[in-house]
Amino acid sequence: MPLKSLARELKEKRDGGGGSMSKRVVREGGTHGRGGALHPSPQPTRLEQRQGRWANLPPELLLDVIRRVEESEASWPARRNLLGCAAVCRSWRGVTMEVVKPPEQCGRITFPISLKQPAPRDHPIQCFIRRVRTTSTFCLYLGLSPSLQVQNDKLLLAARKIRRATSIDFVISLTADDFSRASSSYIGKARSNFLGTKFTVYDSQPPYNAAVSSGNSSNRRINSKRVSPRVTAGNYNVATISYELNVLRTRGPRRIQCAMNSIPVSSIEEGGSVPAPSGFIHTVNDQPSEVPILNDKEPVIQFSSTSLADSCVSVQSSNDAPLVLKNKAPRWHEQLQCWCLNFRGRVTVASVKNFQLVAAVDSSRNISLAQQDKVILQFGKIGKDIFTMDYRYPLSAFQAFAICLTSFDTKPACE
Amino acid sequence: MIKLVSGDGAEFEVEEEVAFQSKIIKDIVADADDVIPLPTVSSKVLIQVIEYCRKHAAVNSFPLSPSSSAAAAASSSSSISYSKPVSDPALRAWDNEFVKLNNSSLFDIVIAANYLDIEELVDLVLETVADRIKGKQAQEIRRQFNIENDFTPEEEEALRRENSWAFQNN
Repeated sequence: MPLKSLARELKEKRDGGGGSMSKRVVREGGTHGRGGALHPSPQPTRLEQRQGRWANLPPELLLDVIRRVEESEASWPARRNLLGCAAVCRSWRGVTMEVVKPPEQCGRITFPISLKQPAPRDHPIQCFIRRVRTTSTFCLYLGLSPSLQVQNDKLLLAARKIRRATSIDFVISLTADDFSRASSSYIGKARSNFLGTKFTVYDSQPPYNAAVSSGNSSNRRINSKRVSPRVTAGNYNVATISYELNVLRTRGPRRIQCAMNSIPVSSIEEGGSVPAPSGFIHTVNDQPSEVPILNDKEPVIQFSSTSLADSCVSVQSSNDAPLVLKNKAPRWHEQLQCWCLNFRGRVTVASVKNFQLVAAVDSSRNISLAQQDKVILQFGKIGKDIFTMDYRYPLSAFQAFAICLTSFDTKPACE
Repeated sequence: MIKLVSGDGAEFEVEEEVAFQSKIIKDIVADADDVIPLPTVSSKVLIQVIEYCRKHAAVNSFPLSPSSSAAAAASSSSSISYSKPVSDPALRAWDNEFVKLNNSSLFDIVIAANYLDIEELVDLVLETVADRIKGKQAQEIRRQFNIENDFTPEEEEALRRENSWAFQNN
């Protein structure tokens, strides 16, 4: 039977619904895929054969391979395999990024960018923090608690407490051995006021995906009146954390309030979402490696509600306010003679640092009681210099860690 | 018998049940004694593919038990197409031997198997490739699969950062 009639017959079968199409989606116009089944594809030349035909694996097959890698490696350190796949070449990276869903959807942390994306809505991402007093560093690890094989605990973020003349800085880095502001691993900081009662959290990159690609982002920066190229060195005010002065009672629970400037309150409404960056690789130019270090007088970018509306018009009305978190008020336990909160077994040592944050919303908002009662961030002590940190949508690991760090700073005015 | 003709003109006569391991051939063949030209498949690859189909045709023609075929039906209706492991341990062992090939040969086979829609063979090769990727860093994957690095220096810098975050020692 000649090829043409074969192809015609195949087409008829397919149009009639009789032909079974492969479950792997056939690439449009693919030479190898079954869309052009039994059509001769140009024979690859010898040169192509030598120069890596695997780079030209049909995308549906590459997708299948990466998916297999993804599904077999749910936890660290095996999760590294996906970073290997994502760094092979552009096409592999594209496919890997398609396979690996952000933490909000898959509950897993895979790439460093996952640290600035929100956690799932239904269950928290559970982490623990180890404090190293000698070096004033704090390390955030993924997991319930330190495992027996310490080398298997995945370090997510590290912070160092630095005492300045008028403030305390917690410098937050991707690695535990480099806290330089000029380093490429620097991702933000939390800075206190003089009394240590109020902190501002700065993100080194815009908290939403303003820069779609490196090419566009430079144009955008220059064109935008609000964001000058100078400021992209990275001081984006994403949160303000206040510890309420405790004037009347000398001992007792302190009150915490966090204004999340980059998260609209609508994000916790039904169907709401939170703007979050989707890739470090596109914002590589934003890294401060070649930019002089900003001094304290440098203006920072304030995320007003209007600027958020600009970036994410579809989900927010223009008058959307930032989400405010407050700590859940502990109950006074008569028998134990102390203030108590139910941490559901995740906190075992009483400490003034322990807290649970919930959304502080006014009644005009369409936010369910169940959502209002949801603990978005929980932090507490489980041992000497070991603390748990469980965070949930709409917070990211970076934001949650920054909030927890501020609890480590002693605030005599609040105790 | 069905006659398959490779891209380099070699002819292979195979039994229907062997050729029908390929869904596409099963779909297009109206009568026996058909001649099917496969211009993109070389005779070297076609020999390997026929070897695979012959083995699997022999095993598949005797389904193990109703329960295992029911399980296969259930898994094929799920959204994930490849979660259907070969249940016969002897056949699985044979498959494992079959894919002990270099990456270049595997590539030819997966392209041919995808073209002919032999789902189990595509699954087998892709699973093998996934296993060969695991535990390797990007550079080694590039070397093994002969893939060129096409990132810009700026992107490479960002990748290095990702990598050092993923591989740092605590």
